[in-house]
Amino acid sequence: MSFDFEDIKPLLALARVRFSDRELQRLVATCDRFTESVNGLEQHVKTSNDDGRICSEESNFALTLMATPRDPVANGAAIENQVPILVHNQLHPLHSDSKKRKS
Amino acid sequence: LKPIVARTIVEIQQAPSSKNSLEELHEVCLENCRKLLGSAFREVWDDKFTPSEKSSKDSPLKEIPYSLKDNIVTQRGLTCAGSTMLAEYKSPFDASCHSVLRDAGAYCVGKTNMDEFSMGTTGATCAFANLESPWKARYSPGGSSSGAAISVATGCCIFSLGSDSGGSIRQPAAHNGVLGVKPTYGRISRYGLIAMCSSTDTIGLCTRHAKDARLILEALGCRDQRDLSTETVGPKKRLLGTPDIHGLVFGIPNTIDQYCEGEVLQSFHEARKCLERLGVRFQEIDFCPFENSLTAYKILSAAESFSNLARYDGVRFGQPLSQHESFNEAVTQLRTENFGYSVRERITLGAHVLAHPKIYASATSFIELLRVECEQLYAEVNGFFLPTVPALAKPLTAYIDNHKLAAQEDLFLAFSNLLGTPSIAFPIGMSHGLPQSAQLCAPQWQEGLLLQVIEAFQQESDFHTQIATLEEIQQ
Repeated sequence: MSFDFEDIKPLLALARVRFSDRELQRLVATCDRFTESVNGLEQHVKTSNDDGRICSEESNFALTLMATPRDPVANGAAIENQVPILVHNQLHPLHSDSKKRKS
Repeated sequence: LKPIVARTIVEIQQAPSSKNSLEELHEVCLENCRKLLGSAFREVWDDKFTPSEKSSKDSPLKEIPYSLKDNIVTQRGLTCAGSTMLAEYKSPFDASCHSVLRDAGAYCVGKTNMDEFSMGTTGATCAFANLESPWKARYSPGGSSSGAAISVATGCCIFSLGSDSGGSIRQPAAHNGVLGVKPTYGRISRYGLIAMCSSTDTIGLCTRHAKDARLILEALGCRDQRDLSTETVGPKKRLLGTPDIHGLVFGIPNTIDQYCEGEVLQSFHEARKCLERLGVRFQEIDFCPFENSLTAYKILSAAESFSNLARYDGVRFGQPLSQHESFNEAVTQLRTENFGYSVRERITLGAHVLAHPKIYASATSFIELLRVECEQLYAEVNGFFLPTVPALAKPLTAYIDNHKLAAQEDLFLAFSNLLGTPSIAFPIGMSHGLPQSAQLCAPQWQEGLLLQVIEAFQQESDFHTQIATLEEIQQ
């Protein structure tokens, strides 16, 4: 996919920023490079998937060497003045559900 | 006798007249800080040290000066994160790490300049200063914790706290010839760290000696109810290494040659030989996650920066909004005027990533693959040993519009952030007047092991005690 200004317009509205004409040219080039590297990453993941190298959810949780037990209650808490834990952090290795890991 | 700023904390504290040593240290550091006000330092707090009411008389960090990266909030002074968006921001509270250090008896000498919102690898995106290497004028000091690394390299303080989301402590540490520690994600509370990429944001430190890094990590590593990712088990136990480094095995990725400059490889292999003489063994490993790790990090950081920086809208945080017909237009104008190009670029990419969940999913799938691969490798070796950066620092002008050069700076660093594992960069030599550095990586909570190896290396070398002269910066 090659980016052009029309692709970028809606992104600018979401990000609530603007760019000068020169900056826009630079941004388009960055987006193209970004897409290229994302394609490479997707291909790598796909190949690994085909090779069966992506392990199941259960076996992920068995990776105790790099995993850390977490308090499942605290993990889900969102109290004011705490560092926010984003929704997508559920996918982060350190925010996996500890009950599942134990099993 | 070594200059006072090059001594270890224990050497300073246990000097025959430690009171005089600490007074000398205070004066030397503040004199150096004042010279760097407006470059490495955004603010210098030069009043006389006053201990915190809670500080213990027996603390090893008693009266030891440190500096803080300008994205760590303090009630005193301003916290700007290198951006005009926060040029007048005064925090109503102190970051946990700052409070812990003050309670341990240490004192802060000032806030250090940085790349805007930690987005940069040369210090060039800082809105308030032109940062450059203290070793060679107009050369890159690395980033984003540029001021933090410079402040230690030039003897302004004994240690400096910074943040490392994709290499932002280790890379400037490498270019400034100091030790750079990215601890395990969750060892040090992030409460009070201005968020950029929450999944990988880690508070870490720059200092000279591995022995000092151990003391500082022991002080900082504690459970904090205000950051629920912090560890629950006592940190001291986890900082213990092994009784002996003989027989430890570190893996060297078999692909580093294709990325590194010849001089970097030469210094790296000399350091390897030195460690081999000390009893450490090395084995080649088939491991090349570098480019994909960098891409996965870019995806995460773009998406999370988009979310984290949405709060700078002139209502919740940021400069006040100007009069405008539409609210959206006023916010857009404010953000366009106060965010530099790199920040606007990152959040625009974030909008793109969040509009295409497949992209985000590929990054998280890759992280799972990386975890499995490292898990298998860590069954064979105690850790990894590789250069911190593939090239020596370059003149600042060389990075302008050269995306390849800028991108390679974090090439060997991002994978540790994705895994949340510790990685420590340490100086191993000098080439053309510029520092060389290598890094050791290990599974989670193994900082103690890495520090033990580096302590042994530092007994055989003196690169870490060299002090950068301030003349280069003042030219």
